[in-house]
Amino acid sequence: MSRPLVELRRVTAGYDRQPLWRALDFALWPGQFAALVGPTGAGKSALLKVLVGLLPVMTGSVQRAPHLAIGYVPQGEAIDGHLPLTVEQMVCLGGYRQTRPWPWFNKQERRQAAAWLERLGLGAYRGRHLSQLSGGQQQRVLLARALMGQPQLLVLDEPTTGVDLHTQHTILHLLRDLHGEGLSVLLASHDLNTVASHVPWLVCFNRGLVAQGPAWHRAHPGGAAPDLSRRHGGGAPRGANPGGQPHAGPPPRQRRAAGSRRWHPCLNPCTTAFSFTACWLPCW
Amino acid sequence: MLVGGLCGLLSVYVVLRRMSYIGHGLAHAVFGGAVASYALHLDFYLGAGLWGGLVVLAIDGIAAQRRLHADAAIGVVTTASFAFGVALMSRMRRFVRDFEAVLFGNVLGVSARDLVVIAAVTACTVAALAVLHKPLLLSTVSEDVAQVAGVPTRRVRRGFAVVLALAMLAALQVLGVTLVAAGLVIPAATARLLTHSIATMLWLSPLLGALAALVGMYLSYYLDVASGAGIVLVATLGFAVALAWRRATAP
Repeated sequence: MSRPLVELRRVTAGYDRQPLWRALDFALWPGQFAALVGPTGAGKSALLKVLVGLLPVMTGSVQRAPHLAIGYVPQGEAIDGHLPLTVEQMVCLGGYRQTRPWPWFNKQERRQAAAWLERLGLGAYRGRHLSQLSGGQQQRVLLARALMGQPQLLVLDEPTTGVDLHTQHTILHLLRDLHGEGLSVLLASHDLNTVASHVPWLVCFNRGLVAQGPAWHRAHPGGAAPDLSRRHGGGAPRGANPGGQPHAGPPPRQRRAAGSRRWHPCLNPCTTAFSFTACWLPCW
Repeated sequence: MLVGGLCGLLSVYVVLRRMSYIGHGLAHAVFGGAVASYALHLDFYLGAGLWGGLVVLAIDGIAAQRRLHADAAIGVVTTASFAFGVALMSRMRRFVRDFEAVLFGNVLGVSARDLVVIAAVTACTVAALAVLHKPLLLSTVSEDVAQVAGVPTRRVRRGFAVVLALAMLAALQVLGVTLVAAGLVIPAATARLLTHSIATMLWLSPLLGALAALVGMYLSYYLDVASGAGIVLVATLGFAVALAWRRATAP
């Protein structure tokens, strides 16, 4: 039986001693391609930071698979145009784990960087200075840098924010292809419409786990809306493999807890299909 | 020239990592250690070196609290150290003349032992930077990405600060406390105006630093000014020429 790549057990975390969520159980499995969706301020970036080890937890435990290599693309990393680095050098830096302790990059590293750049449509830009790239191209360079480390798990924080529609789809299609090659991928996004049409597993997060499951149109084409009654702190059942068979949820319930929001599915304009937890806006 | 080259090499990382302020601050902090070691009859390099190491750890410790940015920690620790040195010096007025060299540099006061120390520090710095080059660059680009990629960012940061403090110690006699910070900024800033390549910067910046040191020393001798002032003024002139060239050739 496979073990999770990263598993959070009863984790409470936040900034400046102020918890963003409490007692969260969450697991990421080998071969999973998931999107963490939720509104701005929901704690998605903090959760990603906990998963990759950048944010210490207040209580609970984080267990990572031994020797787990993680590729990380942080949110809104602005490339400093003043850095005297070429695109190729920037990408090569991502291979730190495999690199030799010499101050230069060897031929193999440069070949590998060139291959990733080619795949991301930036082959012609290898020798260019970083400041000569557009925002979308820079985002692809950051993705190539993360992939240079030959990660088993790729974690991306809002990778499609601030780039044009074409680049959004290029990035998401590439992630889907990489997932097909065995890479586990977790991305955070506040743009549900964009990710729901490309990512097979959605995790709805708002200062706690709201619900998670397959994108609805993938699990039940033309079917009814899912049960979204599992709310904050519910967590994924341990031992379940979210990358495997989708949940067959019971019919939707319209139960509304006192003081809570009611969740409803809405039409996903990107796929013209009902998507899982398609709207986290309160429906009063 | 050795000091110019050493400062020129370090300046590449100081400028890229936007650490000009720590360069300035550490120079002043080391001054506190220099005065204290003099007053306590300790070896200058040992006393000031230990002091510099403690200052680096104190800055890192305060900055790690996350409540304050590193610049605030640098401002507090280094100025306190400098103030301590000034206070100690004013209590022991007989040392004032000796410390003019430390404040403004005096190349004629460099002994054979100083030369050995400078050469040793230069060799250690080159070796350390060869190993630290990639982790330093990656953490300059993004501290978070570097940490996830396996770079021991805190150790790298501390290691670089210690190398910086040692280099300052070695350069203090030539450039002086008040001017050594300029030596750690101007060569790389000039080189950056002339090239877009990190590889070119890594040889051009030490070369510019060494050239400024050579020309500045001759000027200071013939014009009878402090060696530090002469070197920094020549380096600044080079920067101004590079800036003018850049503006003239910019599209």
